[in-house]
Amino acid sequence: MKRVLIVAACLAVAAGGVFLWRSRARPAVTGPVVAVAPGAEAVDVVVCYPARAGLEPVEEVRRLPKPASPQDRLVQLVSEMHQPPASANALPLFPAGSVPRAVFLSSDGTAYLDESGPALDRPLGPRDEIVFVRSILRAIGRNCPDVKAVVFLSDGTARSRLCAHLPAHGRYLIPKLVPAQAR
Amino acid sequence: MHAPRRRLAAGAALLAAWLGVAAVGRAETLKVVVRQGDAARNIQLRKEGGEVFLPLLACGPLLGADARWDPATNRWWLRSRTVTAAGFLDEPLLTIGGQPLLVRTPPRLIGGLPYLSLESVRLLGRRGWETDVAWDEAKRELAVRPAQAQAEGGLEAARARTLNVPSVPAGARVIALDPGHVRRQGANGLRGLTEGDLGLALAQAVAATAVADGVATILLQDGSEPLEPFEVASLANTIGARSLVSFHGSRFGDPGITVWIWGLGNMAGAGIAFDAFEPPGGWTSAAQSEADRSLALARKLLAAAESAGIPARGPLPAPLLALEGLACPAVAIDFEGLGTPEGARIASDESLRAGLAAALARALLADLGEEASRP
Repeated sequence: MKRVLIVAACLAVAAGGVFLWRSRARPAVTGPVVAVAPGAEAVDVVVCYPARAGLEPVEEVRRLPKPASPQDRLVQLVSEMHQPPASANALPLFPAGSVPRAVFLSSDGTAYLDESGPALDRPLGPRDEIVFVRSILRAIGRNCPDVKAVVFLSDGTARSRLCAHLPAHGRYLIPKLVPAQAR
Repeated sequence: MHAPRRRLAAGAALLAAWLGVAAVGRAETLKVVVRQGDAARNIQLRKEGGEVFLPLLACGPLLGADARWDPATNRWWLRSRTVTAAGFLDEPLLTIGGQPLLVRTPPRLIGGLPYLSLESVRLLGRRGWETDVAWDEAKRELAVRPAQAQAEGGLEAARARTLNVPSVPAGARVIALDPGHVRRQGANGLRGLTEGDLGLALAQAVAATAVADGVATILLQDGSEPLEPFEVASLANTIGARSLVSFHGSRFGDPGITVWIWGLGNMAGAGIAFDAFEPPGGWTSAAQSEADRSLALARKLLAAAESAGIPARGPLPAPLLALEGLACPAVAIDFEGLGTPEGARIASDESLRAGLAAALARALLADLGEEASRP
């Protein structure tokens, strides 16, 4: 009986330790998108890319695992934005190989998208930069109804300009769009 | 059979206990020396998963701020006379003077007390208190000192320098032309086109053509030294510009030009709006007061471009930095499709460019004439 108690106590200490460790060492809020496992619940996600011509973004639909929370949905979408487009008429949103540094959805519905410097320090002209922003906001408006505005950060901090022509010292408000799930 | 099973269970329990203790043991208390000027003192930090954490209440004295934490809401503050930094425990978003910061390791509760990661303290020190916080792992020493000047360049360098204000003849009405970028800079395209070269060539061609009595057409930069957008606006406002045209180029898009005016809302007609981190009436939205006249000027330039055989679109509103803070009607002309065969052909055609420059010059002078005749 004594031994059973000792074993139980040891197991409790171990479980507590593992729990403490896991809760403190939280995983980063970014990461690659996991493929949908057979039988798992999936959702359609609309990713928008800058078109080669015109101002309207090119929309592509992806089937991805259903996220658990609005924050997860945003992280999933932003990760997917970093993947190259499938359409020939569309341009990549971010340079090849770039990954989001962090994504955070605050309680007031503001999404903070933190990219590393090289992802934003690109010589985009006004039109290209405007379509870049429109594509991101359009995709968020389509997929993340909890997001009201977007703040772009670079390496964790606010910057005065996005790439060269648009400001980053404020919030871009999301247009009201038909959500992807309602289409 | 019972004895081996018991031994196995006991072994498993011991292993599990060891794993648990090892996991908890990742949190390490560090007794470190803080050096701040000539003073040195000891504080206790925590190290978890390779990240060093400082007690919030110790961060206050380090930065010269008052540190507070509300256990009911988990909100924390570092406040000095001029700066307030704040956030919530377990949230990666911090604000300092109203500006957001996103950290990889959020502030958290350790042993019932709030802690900030070294990453957070460094960012807050640099951004809010002009203080560098350096950690020496080998010596277990934290050095707190006044921030070293950032490497020269970009916005910081621009803020520090004195602008050469172009001289303007007394009584002259001024048209200001902004080439947008310096030579070989900005977006690039086919046929060796660059946004900087194209903008400068167009601005120079317009300046050479927009000649009239009592009118001074001023190029705000000559393609050698870049101007920050706020410097462009400062120069244009200082010389009393009556109108401003800023020249740009984009790699993609439709061949020809798009004429942009400043606007916070309905960017390209999509219901997108920009909300600057500044009080109403601030610098960003100063151009709003000239919105109607900018729209009128944009329509004239659009018609001029079409008359010169250049496909033209607009006017469209966008919160372009090039048009911020201006106290006169202002437009940006974006030569699109520099990276496409047709767009590059149009942009590099000398005769088309000369025709466009002449048409734009006529439109600018006509606008100035109308403006002068207004009561």
